This record gives sequence, C-alpha cells and structure tokens, in this order.
Amino acid sequence: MTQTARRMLIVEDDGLVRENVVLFCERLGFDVTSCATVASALQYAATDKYGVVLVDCLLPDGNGMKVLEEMSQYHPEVSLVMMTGSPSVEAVIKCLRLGAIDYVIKPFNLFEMKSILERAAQKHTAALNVRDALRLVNKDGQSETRNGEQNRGYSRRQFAEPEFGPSGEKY
Amino acid sequence: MPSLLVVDDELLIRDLLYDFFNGQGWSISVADSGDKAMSIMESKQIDIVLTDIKMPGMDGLELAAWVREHYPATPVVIVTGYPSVETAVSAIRSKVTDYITKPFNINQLLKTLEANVPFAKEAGKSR
Repeated sequence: MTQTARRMLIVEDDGLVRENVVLFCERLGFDVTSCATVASALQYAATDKYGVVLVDCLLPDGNGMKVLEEMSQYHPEVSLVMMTGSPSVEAVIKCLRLGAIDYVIKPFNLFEMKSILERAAQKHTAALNVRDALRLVNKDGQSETRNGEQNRGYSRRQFAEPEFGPSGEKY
Repeated sequence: MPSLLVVDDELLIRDLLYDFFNGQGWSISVADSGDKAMSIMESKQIDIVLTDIKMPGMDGLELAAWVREHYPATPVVIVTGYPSVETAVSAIRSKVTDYITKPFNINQLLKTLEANVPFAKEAGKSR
C-alpha cells in the first residue's frame, strides 16, 4: 500500500460526529486531517495529498458535493466517500457520476465504515498503479498498459477500479 | 462498430433501443434476462451493457456485479423506472458506470453511452 493510501481528509461540520469518526479512523491506522467546511477542505486538498476523502453532504458553506467535484477533477486517484443524514436518489447518482466509491447513510455502522475505508485505501493504491501504467504511452500517442494491451479509453470510475490493475491481477 | 447489449424484460424497451441504436450505427444484442445476457457476453465482444434493474431471476445489479467480475473493462449502465436510494447505493457498490431513470431522453442516453465507449462517436459520424 502506498504512503498516501492511509492519509485521510474528513470533512464534517458536526463536532461530535467529526471527533468520533476521526478517533475511529485513527484507530484503524489512518493519518487523519479534519475540517468542517467546503472552503477549508478545498484548501487542504490543494496543499496536501490524501488517499481517502470522507465528506459530509451538508456543510455550513455549501454542499460537500463541491469537494467531490474538485477532487474528482484534479485528484482522480483519491477514493471519495460521501456521507449524509438526508439521502436522495439524485445525490447518489451525482456521487456515482463523480466516481465516489461509496455513499454512507447516517447513522452508520462502524463495522460497515471500517470495511468501506479499508476498501477505499486499497482502491487508492490500485488507482495509483493504474495511473502509472497509463503513463506508458506508445509512439502513436495511444496509451497502453504495462503488459502491452491497448487502452480503449477509460472513465474515472474504471481508472479507479482495483480490479483493473496493470497486470490484470485482483487487489 | 460499437457493440451494445440491452438487457430488459420489456419487449417495447428492447425494440425501441434496438431500432434507435441500430440507426446510430451500433451493433445491438438484446436479452430479456440476466442469464441470457451472461450467455451473450460469453459468446461475443460487447463494448457496453445497458440493463434494467427489475427483471425476473437475476436483477440488473447482480448482472452488473457479474460483469465487473468477469469483464472489468466493460462499462455497465443501469436504467430503472423505480429509482431508490437503496438501488442507487447498490449501483455505486456494484461499480456501475451510470444510473439512469426512466423515462429517459434517448439522445441523452446516446451521449452517455458514447462517453463510455470512446470510439462510438467516430463510428456514428462515419455512418
């Protein structure tokens, strides 16, 4: 697993929830940074590297989806997880399209959260491996994987898929 | 020619999508169940799968999970007339490419599929 895989940014405005989630994630071995607003999350994301970003939907200065949009565009290798107490179909679809790996509804089960976060860390490592593989570009300008198979073009979701590793192995 | 597998238990939807995408220069396969879809995928190259959720037997999310396991590079788009938070979250966890609700705009659907099959747009232009 890469160094950044266990670096996590938690964005949650409810102090009690944030404190508990931070403690829980630290116990899981994550190096956690936390904040309470969209603005501060974007500032952290711009200045530091994370493997996993866990974002609350409703934040005091806007929708947590904004953080997902920015991360999806500029840091596609980061595993994104949205959490909310007010789920909606539209929000889940938007998260799906932004490449979020999960959508967690509060109150959540900590065992379930542990499984999601471990999967998120693994996916980040896998995504970095795929990114490195896709950097191998042939002279015709078409990217190819390390084992020589031609890349037919992939979405962010596929780019982040651990099953889609450079050697075809499962993570 | 891009190849699309349409999986829906409603004949009307299968016919509509067959006619439309055939007219756009796509190669179309249709299945009325998840089991038939799996057989088709095992017998020919499919570039993208478009599946309903509610079907007799295997549902669309189970089919998506099967596709992700056996054909991880093949995008799966879910189309449903009964959207819910639960099925949408399951869709994220089944790693589907998109989740579209019925009634859908067929031109928007075409754009979605083209966005996920990079050479599809070129195929459409060369008709």
